[in-house]
Amino acid sequence: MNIMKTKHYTIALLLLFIGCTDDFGDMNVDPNNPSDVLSDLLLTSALKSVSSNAGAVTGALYVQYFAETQYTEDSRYGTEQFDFTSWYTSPLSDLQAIIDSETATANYKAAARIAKAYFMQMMTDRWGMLPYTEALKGADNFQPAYDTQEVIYKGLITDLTAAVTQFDANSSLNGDILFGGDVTKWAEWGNTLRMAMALRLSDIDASYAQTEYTAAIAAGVISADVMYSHLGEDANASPWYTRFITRTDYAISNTMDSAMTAKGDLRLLKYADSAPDAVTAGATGLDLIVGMTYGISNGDAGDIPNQAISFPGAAIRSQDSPLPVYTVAQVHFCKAEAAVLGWGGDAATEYDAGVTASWTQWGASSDSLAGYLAANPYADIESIAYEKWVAAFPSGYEAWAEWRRLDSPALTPASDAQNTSRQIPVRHAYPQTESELNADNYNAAVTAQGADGLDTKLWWDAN
Amino acid sequence: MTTSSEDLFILPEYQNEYAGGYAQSWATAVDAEDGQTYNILNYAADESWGPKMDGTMYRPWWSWIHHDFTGDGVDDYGTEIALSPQKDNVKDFFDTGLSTTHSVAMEGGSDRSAYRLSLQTNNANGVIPNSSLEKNNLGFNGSLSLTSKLTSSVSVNYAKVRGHGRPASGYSPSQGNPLQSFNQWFQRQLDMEKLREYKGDDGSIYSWNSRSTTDTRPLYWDSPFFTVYENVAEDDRNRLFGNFSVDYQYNDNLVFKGAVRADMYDFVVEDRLGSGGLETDFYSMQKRSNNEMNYEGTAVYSQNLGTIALKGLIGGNYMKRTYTSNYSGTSGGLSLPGFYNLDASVDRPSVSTFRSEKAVNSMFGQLSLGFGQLYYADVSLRNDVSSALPDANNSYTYYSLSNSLVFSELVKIPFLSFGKFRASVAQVGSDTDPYNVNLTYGVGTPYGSSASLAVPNTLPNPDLKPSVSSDTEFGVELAMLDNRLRFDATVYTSVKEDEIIDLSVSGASGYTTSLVNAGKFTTTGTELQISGTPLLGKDYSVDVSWNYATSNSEVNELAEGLEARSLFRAYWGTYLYANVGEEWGIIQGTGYQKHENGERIINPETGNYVHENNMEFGSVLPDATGGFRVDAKYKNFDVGAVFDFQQGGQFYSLTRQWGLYSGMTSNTVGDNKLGNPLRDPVINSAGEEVGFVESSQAASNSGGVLIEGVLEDGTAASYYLDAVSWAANSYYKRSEENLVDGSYTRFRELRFGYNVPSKYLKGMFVSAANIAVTVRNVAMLSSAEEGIDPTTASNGHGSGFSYWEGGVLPSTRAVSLNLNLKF
Repeated sequence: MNIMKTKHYTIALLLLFIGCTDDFGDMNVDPNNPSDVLSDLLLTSALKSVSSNAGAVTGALYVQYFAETQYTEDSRYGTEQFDFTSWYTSPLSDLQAIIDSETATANYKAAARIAKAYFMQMMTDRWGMLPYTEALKGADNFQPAYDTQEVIYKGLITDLTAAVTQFDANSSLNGDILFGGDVTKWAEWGNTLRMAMALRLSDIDASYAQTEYTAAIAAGVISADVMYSHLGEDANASPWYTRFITRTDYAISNTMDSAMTAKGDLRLLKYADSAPDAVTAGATGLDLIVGMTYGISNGDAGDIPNQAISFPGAAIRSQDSPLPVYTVAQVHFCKAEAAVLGWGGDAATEYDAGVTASWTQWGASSDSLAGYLAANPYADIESIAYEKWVAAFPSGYEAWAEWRRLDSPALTPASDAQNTSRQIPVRHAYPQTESELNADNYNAAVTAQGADGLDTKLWWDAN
Repeated sequence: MTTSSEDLFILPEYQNEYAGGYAQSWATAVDAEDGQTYNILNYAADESWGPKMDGTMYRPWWSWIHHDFTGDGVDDYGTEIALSPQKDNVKDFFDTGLSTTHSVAMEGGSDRSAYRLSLQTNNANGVIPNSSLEKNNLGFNGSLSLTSKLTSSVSVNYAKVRGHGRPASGYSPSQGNPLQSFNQWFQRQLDMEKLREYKGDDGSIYSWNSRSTTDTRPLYWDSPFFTVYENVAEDDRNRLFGNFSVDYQYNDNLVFKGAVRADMYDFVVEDRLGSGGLETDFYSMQKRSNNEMNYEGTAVYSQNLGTIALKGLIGGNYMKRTYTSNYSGTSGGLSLPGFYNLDASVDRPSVSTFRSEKAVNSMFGQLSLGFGQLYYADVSLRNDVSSALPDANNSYTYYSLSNSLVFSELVKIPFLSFGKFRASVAQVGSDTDPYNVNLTYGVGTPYGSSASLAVPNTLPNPDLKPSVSSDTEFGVELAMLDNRLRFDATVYTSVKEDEIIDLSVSGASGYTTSLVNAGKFTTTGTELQISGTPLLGKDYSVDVSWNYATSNSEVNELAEGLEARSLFRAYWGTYLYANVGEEWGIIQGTGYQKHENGERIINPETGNYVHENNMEFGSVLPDATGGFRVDAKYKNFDVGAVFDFQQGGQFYSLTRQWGLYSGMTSNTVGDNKLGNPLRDPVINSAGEEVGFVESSQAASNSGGVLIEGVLEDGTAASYYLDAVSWAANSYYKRSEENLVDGSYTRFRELRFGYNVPSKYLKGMFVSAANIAVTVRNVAMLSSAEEGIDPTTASNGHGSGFSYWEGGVLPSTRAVSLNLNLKF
């Protein structure tokens, strides 16, 4: 054996040893995304979804705030299945990460629980039974069972009750794009949600509803409108602005226009822009607003030119238009309703206060307010339901839920309805994926709740 | 050198009877300039349910704009024209594609060195206006023997691809997709020549889809020419790959090899949305870089012992891949219209950077044995250790074993000139992408100065393990009658176990997908090829070959407790699933509710079919695929023809869905059973116009589409339904109606060639010359739905299967001329 030979063997061995290490150090640590739970940043992410609910379209079509100008399928109930996935994966999973976090402080957890209740209520009001107690558990449960709406509602109310006591005014709450870190406002919003949830159960479980309603009011509800502020940039613009960047799909409906015009309601001038043809024709006042006929076929709708109708007003359609999340007016109407139910308070006083708050909120000319109240005074639950409907604009899902519970104001279903019953939907069908990916639980929910369509009434929608 | 020209192969069958709009009745408008009233179409509509194209005089969209659209130097405002069909308007949009390829290769060497340099350039202008692709390749291979034992080799390849105006594809891309418009949302009477004039002298932008006679801004669509000339995407890819290796011949039997292989590319993509169009103007630039290095060392031992040849190999490899990307795009528009630069962003630009690294260490060995011409065997074993897997599971070993026996060497069988059996089993282990193990939070769009961070939608998995694919294959090759008849058959089974996929889960879990090692998928298949030479002579020959393949893929198990995997979601609720115990690729969506007797149920309240959600419609995979080819030669001429076919399979057609919905395709016109145009109003026996009527109650002059089925109780029923309601309500979100059978037979290629006899080349610098003319996509001989090319239904998101079709670049027929010279 000579030295050369040894050298060659050494080279060969070295080459082979290249393939023998298995320690890669930090190579598989993702440098692009953080791995720590940063509660403030997660809270911001979740609260951005408030805008998606406040500016949602479908509910606002069902209650006929808006009419589609061309593709009228959704106003004719042509879509049955709506996907809830993004609510779970976007705001709720972020909020659950805060709630489950070992490092998040009490303020973040309390705010996360309140925001979770806000989203969950909207969801159960749309789909009814939903995964709740078994939801948001990631790999621990990829097939969560559906809870009844009663379990969900009562669970949310319990959670809200506990959450509002959890705040610590001496500790910080950052990333709060809704209340700027004001924990008192958070607690008031939590109580308000609890109040509204309790009232929604008034038909199905009156005594529970009254107890929770009374406790929520006593704990202190909002005294200022909860608004979601949009910014003057495309990434955080009002959804009503974004929808109109390239398209013109939604106009104020003729239902809304004729109801409000008949009552001389000047809020309509804020809800809608003047129709160009009406301006040309020299119309004035409420006649400047021309509603788009609701629920007609695409062909008929398409033949109504854009200049003949009124699009949503600048109050919601500017890039930075704030959108109401829950308003003082709505609180007053809830109180008026509670008075009618005999839970205390004076219905007429709350009715007047509600209308006044709503006119103020929209900046409608206050000179005409007294005349409006005189012409349209409190009469009965129907008058409350009507004002509640007008005041909730443009919060479609909230208004739709209240309309289903109160069965008022009377709305005529789309004349060219596409669904089998041809009635206004009272529910949304589950996403298609659930029937395959969570089949057993989906089938159990359908068995318990009724057909998975638009016409199955929810638990609280008892009469 | 090759030059080819490309033209459209298949377009949908458009209707040429009705113009744009939503109703057949004429609308009118008063022109403020002359106070006269004119017939107008509903320009804002992007459907074709409008008036009959019967020559009625009207004002086209461009007659409401002060501009010269006809090219005669005169303002065309106020022009009235006759409403007449434009049968070829879509065809007129396209250019003839032209492609030229030049390639040159030089080679040479000495007893100690070898050298080869090749150059290729290809310039192509696509059928979509303003689209071009430029490819340049340069390759160099060289080797040099430094000593009698030491040889070094080098290979360097450089490839540059520049794309300009690559066409958009799919449904509703923001830059606009002319194909989507033509086949799904358009007005059939439009004259394409007028649409070329999309820009006025003052910079105003015009479109056929104007909102009204006084507001000429587009409602849904820019002019298709605006799209291709203003929303221009550009890309530039530079790839360099090659290797350097050193071989050391230690002795007659043993060689040591060391090699470094590099593969790196830079890819820059720029996107634009033109100023003045429908969309907010926009500019973005994305830069991606990938760098993969491999360092390999091997020792190869070979020895021949009489008729036995032995070869052994052992080696190791280290692979390192680094990928980075950098994206920046404007937000909220461009502050200076037409200035496509990040500096012009109105809002804070959106930016992101990404970096990933991965390394794999490998060791491998291989042993080959040859026994004369009779028997060959190969055994290999490999171990990989990957940085992308969790430390505890990052090492995996796999093997292969293959055998072949030429039995015709062993026994002589009459007529059999060659016979071979082959059998192999092989396993391949694989890892995953980097960063699939640990949960991290995704950076979201900030709200003002508040940053946001979100839980990801895909749940990573700290327990991932390597996946294993096992393939078993048996084959037989036979040649008979002096090789005039040949036969090759293969059966195979491929089992994928622990495949790392992002398995779809119920969104209520908080995640849409979870990374898992998913159970077991089995694919079994058969491939058969029969070929022969029926004619063979001194000057001529005819070869034919036929091949046929079938395969079946089944999902055996997924993850624990999970039975369904959502593969893809097309548009409007048509999903693709892989469910346990079923064939892979099941389409699920909304269909027609059927009675026990199998008939479709009609709702007497609507005169239309009742639909049902969540129905399964069977697999997308074909039952069989194959082809047939003939090659004939006579003296210096040769001719070849290639056919291919698919049996079974299906895909979801957006062209069908929206072509019907918007009244653009030929199946929305014609007569009904009463002999009246189906677009005519439905009329009941009282002579009233209604939305639908029971067929027995229809007036003899009633229009409408005949809907036949049963009522809920199973009794037969039929209705005449208004055509627009039929098209809109039956086809919107109705997967079942829009599934198209994937079967087809296509004449794929025809080729004529001529070898220039050497006697004509004497005295030239050319030693050989060949001329060939090739036609690709000669004819679609059969397909389920005329006008829809099943071979364009390949939107499989890169996964290689056909699932849906719509808004894709139409297939083209190319005629090419090839000249091959040897010097």
